[in-house]
This record gives sequence, structure tokens and C-alpha cells, in this order.
Amino acid sequence: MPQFDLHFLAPLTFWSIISFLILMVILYKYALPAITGILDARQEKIKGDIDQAEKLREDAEKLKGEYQRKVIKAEEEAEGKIQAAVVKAKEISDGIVKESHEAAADDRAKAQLGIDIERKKALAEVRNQVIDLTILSSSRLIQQSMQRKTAESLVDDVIKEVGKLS
Amino acid sequence: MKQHNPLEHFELHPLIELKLLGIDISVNKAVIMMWIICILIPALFMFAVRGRRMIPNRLQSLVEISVEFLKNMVVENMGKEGLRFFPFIATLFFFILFCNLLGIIPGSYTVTSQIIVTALFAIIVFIISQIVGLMKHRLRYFKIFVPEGVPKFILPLIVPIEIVSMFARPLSLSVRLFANMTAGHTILIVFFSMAISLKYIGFIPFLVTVPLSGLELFIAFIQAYIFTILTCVYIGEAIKMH
Repeated sequence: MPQFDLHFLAPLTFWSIISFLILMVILYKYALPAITGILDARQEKIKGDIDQAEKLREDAEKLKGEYQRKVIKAEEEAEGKIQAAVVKAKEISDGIVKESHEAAADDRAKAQLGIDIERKKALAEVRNQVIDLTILSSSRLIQQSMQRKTAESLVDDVIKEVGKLS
Repeated sequence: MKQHNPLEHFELHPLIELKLLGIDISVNKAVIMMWIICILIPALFMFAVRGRRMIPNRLQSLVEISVEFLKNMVVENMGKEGLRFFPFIATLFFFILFCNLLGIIPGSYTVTSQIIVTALFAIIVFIISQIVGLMKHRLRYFKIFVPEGVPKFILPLIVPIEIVSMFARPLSLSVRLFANMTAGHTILIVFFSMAISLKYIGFIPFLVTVPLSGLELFIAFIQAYIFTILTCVYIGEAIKMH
């Protein structure tokens, strides 16, 4: 096999060592630090990003809790306001009903009064008519047949009778 | 028709004759491939991470994932302490991976099919793991050859086995990579030369080379991974002592 030819032992060994050393120095000085630098920088960045995200999440959580409390409070307040409004509305409606009842009662009373007055008026009119008629008829009768005295007593009687009618 | 030697592909020829203090350091095809890799890997990395995008594109993601993957491999096998070996492990992985991958390109040369190269890296890994173990645990490091919970009377048998297995590690590490790369490429060469020499039914071996090339691609990754993870395991064992 040509590889076992020791003729090339010295040059191959020499150049292998030289090449390897040069390559190692270049990689150690330049290439590897560049790569690990990038890797480290990225690691730092990712760590920072995660930390920041965690912080933002915590903040959001806190805000959420705060808003939840606010919402609950607002709901409670709204509930109270609605309750108060309902109570007030009931009061108002009660008042309106009462007022209308009163007004109705008033109207009825007024109407009753009017009716009474009208009736009294009517009665008075009827009485006046009766009186007129009676007087008329009495005066005819007196004129025709009766003495003055009898006529007067008759008139008195009629007046009395009419007076009882009211 | 001239019959090709399937192993001819692995032969090296000096392209530029060079000598340094009497040592032959001639440049050949494998050396040129190493130079290309030395330029290609940093260029690729720098191109991938240019602009240092926070949201990576595909290439940047790929580079980042492979670096993360290697880092996890190091930490898993050696613990946090092992991270100082990370540049070494990463370089080893990418070097072997690109040696394997570029070798698939026709006309190029598979550096890892040279047992001299794989053995060199295996020996370096072995030496590093021994030095790390000795520096960390001093003389207690030799307890690594004495497994815990083994009855005393078997120890004379176990300790030599442990020592042999320890020294077999660089051998197995180097031969595994070298053999995989050599075998894969040899099979590809055999099928390709069949495809040429069989003329009319040459398309049959050619059809075989298509899935084989895919397999080679897969093996290129797997072998780089195996070499690197075994390095992590060996050094990790020296650090943790169990």
C-alpha cells in the first residue's frame, strides 16, 4: 500500500502539525469567539425578551385584576342606582295614583254638589210653579164663589202644603 | 487497455522539493489539500457569521449548530473543565471533516487516507490525555489501570489488559479513520474503472457508484464525529478518572 511508504513521514508530519496549528490559532482567535459571541448575544437577547414578556404579563395580570375590581364595583353601583330608581319610581307612581284618586273623589264631590243644587233649583222652580198655579186657581175660585175669609184660609193651607214639599 | 492499480490514487509525489534543517518538508498533493483546508474553514466561518445576524441564515445556523454540538459533546464527556480543550476539539473535528469531505471531490486528495496523518493526530490525542491525567491526578492517575470493584486476585490479569487497551487506543483511532477513508475511495475507484473498462454494460457499475458516493459523504461525517467523540471520551476519562 502506498500509504505505508515512510518516505513521506517527515513532510506529512511537519505540514500536518503546521496546518493544524495555524487552523487552531485562527479558529481560537477569530472564528470561534465570533460564533460564541453571536450565540451568547442571542441567548442574552432571548433571556431579556422572556424577562420582559414575563414582566409585561405580570403587569397585564395586575391591570386585569384592577379592572375586574372596577367592573364589579361599577356593577354594584349600577345595581344600587337601579334599586334607588325603582324605589323612587314606585314612590312617584304611588303619588300619582293617590293624587288621581283624590282628584276623582273631588270631582265626584263637586258633581254631587252640582246635582244637589240643580235638584234644589228644580224643586224651587216646581214649587214656584205650583204656587203660581195655586194662586191662579185660588183667585179664580175666590172670584167665582167664595167669601174672602174662606179664600184666605185656603191660600194659607195651600201655602203650608207647598211649604211642606221642599 | 491498461489496468489501473486501484491504490495508485493514494500515491504521493513531491511537487516542490523543500528542506528545513536537513528535514524533508517537500510539498505534495496532501500538503496542498491541508493548505486549502486551512484557508477554506476560516473563510467559511467568517463568511457564515459576517454581519453577526441575530436571526441567522442557513449557513450561519449550520455553523452555529455545529459549534453548539461540539461544545455539548465536550461538556458531556469532559465536564465544564473540558471547555479549555474546546478549540482543540473543534479544530480536530473540522480539520478531519474537511479532509474527508474534500477527498470526495474528483482530482483532490484525501488527506485522512494517509495513516501518517491519522496516526499523528491519534498520538497527539493520546499524549494530551496522558499529560492531562498526570497533571490533574499526579501519581494517582495510574489507578486508571486498576478498575474499581474488581476482586484483588484478578488484578494481575486485569491490569496488563487495561494497559494494553490504553496503548491500543491511538492504534485503533488512527487505523479506523485511515481504513474507512482508504476502503471507501478504493471501492469507488474500482467501480469507476469498471464503468470505463466494461464499455457497453459500464452503466451498471456506474449506477453503483452513485449511492456509494452518498455513502462516502455519510462516512466522511461519521468518521470525523467518531474520531472527535473518542478524543473527548479519552481526555474526559483522564480528567474524571473513571
